[in-house]
Amino acid sequence: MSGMPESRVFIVDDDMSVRRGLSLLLNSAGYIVEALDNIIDLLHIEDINIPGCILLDIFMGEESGLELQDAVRNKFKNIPIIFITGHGNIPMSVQALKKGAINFLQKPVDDKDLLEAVEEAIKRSIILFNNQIETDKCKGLIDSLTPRELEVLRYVIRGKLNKQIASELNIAEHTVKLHRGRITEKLGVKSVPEMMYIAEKSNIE
Amino acid sequence: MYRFGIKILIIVLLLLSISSEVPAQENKARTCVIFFSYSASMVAYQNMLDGFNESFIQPLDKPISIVSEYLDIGRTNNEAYGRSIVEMYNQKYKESGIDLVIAVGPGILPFLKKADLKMLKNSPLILVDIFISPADSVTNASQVNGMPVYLKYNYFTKSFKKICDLFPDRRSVYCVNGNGILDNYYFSILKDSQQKNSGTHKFININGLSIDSTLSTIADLPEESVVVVVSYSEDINGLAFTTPEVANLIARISKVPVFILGGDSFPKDGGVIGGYVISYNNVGKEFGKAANQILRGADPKSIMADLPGLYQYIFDWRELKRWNLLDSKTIPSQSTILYQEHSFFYEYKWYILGLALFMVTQTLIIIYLVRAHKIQKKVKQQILENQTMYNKIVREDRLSKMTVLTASLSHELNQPLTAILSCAQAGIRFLDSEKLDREQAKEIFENIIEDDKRAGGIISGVRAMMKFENREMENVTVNTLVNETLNIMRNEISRHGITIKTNLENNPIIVFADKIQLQQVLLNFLRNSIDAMEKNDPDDKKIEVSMKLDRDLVTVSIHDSGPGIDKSILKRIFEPFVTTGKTGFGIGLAVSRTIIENHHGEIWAENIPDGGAEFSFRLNTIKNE
Repeated sequence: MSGMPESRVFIVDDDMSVRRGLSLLLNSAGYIVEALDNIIDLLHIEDINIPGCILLDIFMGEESGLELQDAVRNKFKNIPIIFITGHGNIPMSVQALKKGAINFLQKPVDDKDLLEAVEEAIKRSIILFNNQIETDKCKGLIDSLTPRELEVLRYVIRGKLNKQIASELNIAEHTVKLHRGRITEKLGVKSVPEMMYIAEKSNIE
Repeated sequence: MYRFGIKILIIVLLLLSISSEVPAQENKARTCVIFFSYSASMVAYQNMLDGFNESFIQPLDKPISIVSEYLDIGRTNNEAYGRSIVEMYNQKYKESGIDLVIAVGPGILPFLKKADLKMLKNSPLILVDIFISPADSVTNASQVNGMPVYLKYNYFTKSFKKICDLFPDRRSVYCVNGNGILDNYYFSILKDSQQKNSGTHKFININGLSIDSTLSTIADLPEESVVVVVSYSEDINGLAFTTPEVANLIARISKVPVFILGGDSFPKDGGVIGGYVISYNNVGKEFGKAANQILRGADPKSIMADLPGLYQYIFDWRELKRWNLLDSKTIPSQSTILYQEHSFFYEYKWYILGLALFMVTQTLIIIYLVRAHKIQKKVKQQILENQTMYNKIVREDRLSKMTVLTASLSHELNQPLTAILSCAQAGIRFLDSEKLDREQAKEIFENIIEDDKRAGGIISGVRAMMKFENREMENVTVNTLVNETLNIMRNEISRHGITIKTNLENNPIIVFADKIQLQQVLLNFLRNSIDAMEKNDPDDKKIEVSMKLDRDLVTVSIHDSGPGIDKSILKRIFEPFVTTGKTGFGIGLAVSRTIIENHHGEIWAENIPDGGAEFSFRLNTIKNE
């Protein structure tokens, strides 16, 4: 997986030597690295549209650090965070993982550990991105439905028969059939399970 | 055998005509003869003589020789005997004559009246005789050519009254009398006294009986009665007794209380509750006194015997106890109480009280000492605890500093180590992938060298800080020191998002100081400022380090933008254990003060009106070389 061109590793560390060393190591493994000396600069990046991960050196005990870390996580949902620290201990790592870190590394970190963690994080990032694309696609399809069609869809995915839907919506069964036909057409599906998949991806219940 | 009565009349007979002329006897020793009516075996006589000797004082100018003569006429009532002893004494005192006669005992006056004692004709006479009734004594005394002075004292009435008072419920008083001459005499004078007390009590006389009949009568007496043994020298059959003897016999068989009225002594064998008994010793004293006065030419009419003192109430303590009379108020206060069984406490009252006092005192002292000891122990413990606490705090402060230092050290070292490791591993990877060019390899090695030097620097810095105790004073450039210290802390300061501003002198300022210690002061100041601004807005975390030179004094100040020092501790902030934050034990600033004071400098803290606190120290500078 090394040398994957469409990915990026962000290093956030206030120590220049560490940034330099880690960058070199990741470069040697074929990653494109962006090194930053503080987390605020990271938050200033508008968006990250390609898979990647963040190597974050952070002082866990500090309130402001934790808040910033939350901000990073919320802003870049598809980019996993790997914590890397110079004075880590078990409670700290547990806390870090609870806070949504994908991994926790301790300085000085071995290349194997670091590269494995980065690789895993990027794989995860790719999945997250793919999920995102799929979801976006489904949402787009759903958006093309009229409000009445969306209403009918809700009953269909709950397993209601046309007759039942007609009675619930107080319309003719024939009309229900017409709506269903248009929904199938718009969503480009052939079966109810496919319909249910799209609805689920779009958070429709 | 005592034949002496209880009642005594002391009559001092004085033959006035004699006192004026003492013919041709100026230088001769004078003679005083004491005639006793009975034999010398009478204990009472010995007691009298003892009393006489106590009170009689020899006149210094004309000494008196005292002679006792025992006539023994009481029993030997025989005229021929009487004549012969008179003849004998006439011969005996023919030469010396008699200057004073003291005649003692029952029947002595009638004898002297009859006898033709020539040497008595011109002598003063002191008569001590119980048988003389007041009327008799006057006439009889005049017959011996003297002028009698007698003192009347009837004690029977008083004695009966006492008995009636002691036993108000025992209405029958049985009075026992013998049949001797004395007994009969007593009996004759008894009636009057009995009559005077007949208002409350009934008096029954038991006399004219043999001793056996007397005792058997006593044994059968009714319960509400009292027995009074008046006088018993002979029974009806002529058997001789002494009154105390008979009183003892009666007491032994009597079921009721027994008193004694006559007799010359109190019965020794017990059983008798009490009596009114004569003190022969006092009788002796009385006629001794009378003799003194007469021999010194006193007016005989003025001589008075102090009679009430001759008698005394005597009680047997055991009997009083037996009849529940110990607390009776009717017992005269001057009574002689015999055979008193003192309780242990009574007997050793003062010893016991003394001992008790000693024990109480000792107990109090012990209690005091125990308490004092306890308090002392407590105080000692307190001191020890305080000491332990102090040591603990100091140790914990050191430990916490160590922990902080260790954590900080490990972090500081991990940074370069991480960089070195990463660079080296990157290099290997580049080599493996054959992508490593010369420039890149050089860069990697340079990075490694730089990071390694940095790690070494950290370690030597810590070592320098640790061994400051043996450091020596040296010339220290303050500017450099401030910068170095800031470099040590820079990482930490930036980690806290604090911006730092320095305002130092341009010229190097040199002080003579312990560099590491001064650095410690600055570190403490900085640490304090960082802590103080912990809750500040991230945009408002500022530290300004300034340095000012004023003549030869340099002041280094560290000003933060924190909330300032709490007024309550501002004045005490350099005292040990006064702390600004929750992190320390309040030792750092105290140590700082010690360091600055050891450098003969000043240290202070103040709140700046524009905000924040400022910590400063001032030291003497050395002129630039």
